[in-house]
Amino acid sequence: MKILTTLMVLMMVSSTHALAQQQGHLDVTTSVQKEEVTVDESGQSETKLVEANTVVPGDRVIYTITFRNTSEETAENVVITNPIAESLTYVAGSAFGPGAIIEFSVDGGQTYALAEELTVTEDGETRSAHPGDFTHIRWAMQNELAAGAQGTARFAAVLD
Amino acid sequence: MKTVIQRGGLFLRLGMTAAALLLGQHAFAAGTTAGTVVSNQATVAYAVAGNGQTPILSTAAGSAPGTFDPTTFVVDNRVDFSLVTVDTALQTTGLGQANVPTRFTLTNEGNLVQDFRLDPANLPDTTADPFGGAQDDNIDMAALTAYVDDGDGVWEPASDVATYVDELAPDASVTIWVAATGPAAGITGDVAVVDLDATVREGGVANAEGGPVTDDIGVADDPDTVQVVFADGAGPGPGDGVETALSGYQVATAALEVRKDVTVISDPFNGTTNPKAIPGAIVEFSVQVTNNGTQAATGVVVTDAIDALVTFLPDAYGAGQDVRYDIDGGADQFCDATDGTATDCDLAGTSLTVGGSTLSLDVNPSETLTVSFRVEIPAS
Repeated sequence: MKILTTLMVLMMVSSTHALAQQQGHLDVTTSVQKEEVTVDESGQSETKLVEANTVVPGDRVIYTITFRNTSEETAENVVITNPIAESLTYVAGSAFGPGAIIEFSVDGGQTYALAEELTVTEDGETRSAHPGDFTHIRWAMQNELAAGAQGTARFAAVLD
Repeated sequence: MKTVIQRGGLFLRLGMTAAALLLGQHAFAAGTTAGTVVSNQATVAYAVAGNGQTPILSTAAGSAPGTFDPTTFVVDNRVDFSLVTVDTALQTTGLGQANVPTRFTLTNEGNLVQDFRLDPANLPDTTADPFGGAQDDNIDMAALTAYVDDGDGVWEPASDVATYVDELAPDASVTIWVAATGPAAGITGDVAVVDLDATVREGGVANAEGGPVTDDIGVADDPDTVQVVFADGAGPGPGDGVETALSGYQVATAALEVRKDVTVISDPFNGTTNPKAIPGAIVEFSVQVTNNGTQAATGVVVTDAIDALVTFLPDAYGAGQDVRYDIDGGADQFCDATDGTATDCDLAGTSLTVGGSTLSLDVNPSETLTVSFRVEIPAS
C-alpha cells in the first residue's frame, strides 16, 4: 500500500509538471522500435530495428530517448527517469547512455541503485534483484548539455 | 507513470490497478493480452545555472514537439494453440455402434480469446496407426462429428453438443470429443484412423462462431490496431492457424465360440439310470454358443448336420417341442423343427437349423446360447 500511495502522489506531481513544461529548455522524444531477426537463404541471421507496429509477446522492443537543449543556456545535472511498463521485462545490460550513470529501481521509483547492488525481499528471503524486478531506469548524465547539444538514452525490453 | 490500457472492451487496468500490477506479477503465461496499449514516457530533470528546473516529459517520436504524448504501441494478436489426442490407444468400436468417442485437448497458447472451428475426417486407407499398431487404416467410420465437452471431462452425447470452441481464453484448455459410428461391415481388428483439424476463428462474441482469422504477415503494419501473427507450430503447416491431431478406432465384433456336448438320456435296458449309448438309446446333443467379443451377436443361426446313423427325435421335450434353447441360463424355450415352418427352426433331411427370420437369437457379450435336441440310436 505504501507503493500505491507514492504512485498516486507521483501521478499528481507529473500532471502538475505538464502545465509548466512549455517553458522548458529541453525537447525530449521517445521512440519505440522492434528488433526483428531475419534469416536469409544461406542461414545468416540479421537483426534490424523496425517500427514497433506488429508486436506480440516475446518480441523485443527498443526505446530510445532523445533530449536536445533548445535553449541558449547550458543544462546541468540532467537526469532521465523511465518507468518500465508492467507488461515489459527489461533486458539485462541493455540500458545505454553515453556519459551516464545508469541505476535501477525495484520499488516503483522510490530508490535507485546500480543493477548489481539491488536486492529484493521475497517471502522473508533477500536475494539479488533480476531484470524482471526492475520498475524504473534512471540515467544520471555526468556531463553538461550545452545549448543546442543532444544526448540519447536507450534500453531494450521484452513484451511479456 | 506506468499506464496499461486494455482495448477492445476486454477489461480495463487503469490507475490504481496499474499500480498494484507494478509488483511485477504477470498473470498470463500466454503473454500480454492482445489489444493492450503499452505506454512509455521518460521524465528528464535538469538544472540551469544551479537552479533546478521543472522536469520535462518525453514526447512520442512523430508527435509535435511539446505535446508530451506518451510513446505507445498496441500488443498484437499472437495466434498460438495446440491440439493433442488424449487417447493412448485405438478406441474400440462395434459394427454400426453409434457415438463412439475419441478424445482431444485444445489449448489456447496465444494472447487473445479465440473461437476454434473443428473438422474431423477419416484418413485414407494405409494410414499408419498413430499409436504404433501393426494394422494400418483399412476402414472408415461414419457420422464423424466433433463436440466440445461441457466441462466435466466425461463423454455425454446429451450434453456435449457444441460443435465449435467458443471463447477460449488465453492459457485455457478444453476437451474435444470426436464421436463416430462404427462401420456397417468389418471384422475384428479393422482400423479407422481419424484426424481432427482445429482452425482458429475470431473470438469476442459469445455463443457464435467468429469469422476467419487471417495472418497479417503480408498486410501493412498499423501501430494502432491489433494485428494477427500466426505462431502455431506443426499441423498442416506451421503458422497457418490450423492444428491437427490423430486418433483412431479398431473394430471389435462379437467373437463366438461353439461347443457341442453329448449326453445319453436313456437306453432300453437301463432306462434313465446310467444309460449307455446302445441301439435304442436316446442321446441329447447340446450346442453352446458363447460370445467372447465386445459386441452383441444378433441373428445367430445354429446349423447341425445330424449323423445319418442316428435319427432325429421329434417332440423330444413335449408336443411340438423338438428343440430346446435358452440364452445364458434363462427360461427354456422350444421350437418345432418338423412343422413345415422353416423360418424358426427346421429339419431338412439330416440338417437341423435353429434360428431364422421369425426366430432371432441374440447373444450379448459373455452370454451363452444353448441349443439342445435329441436323437435315437436305431435299434437296427
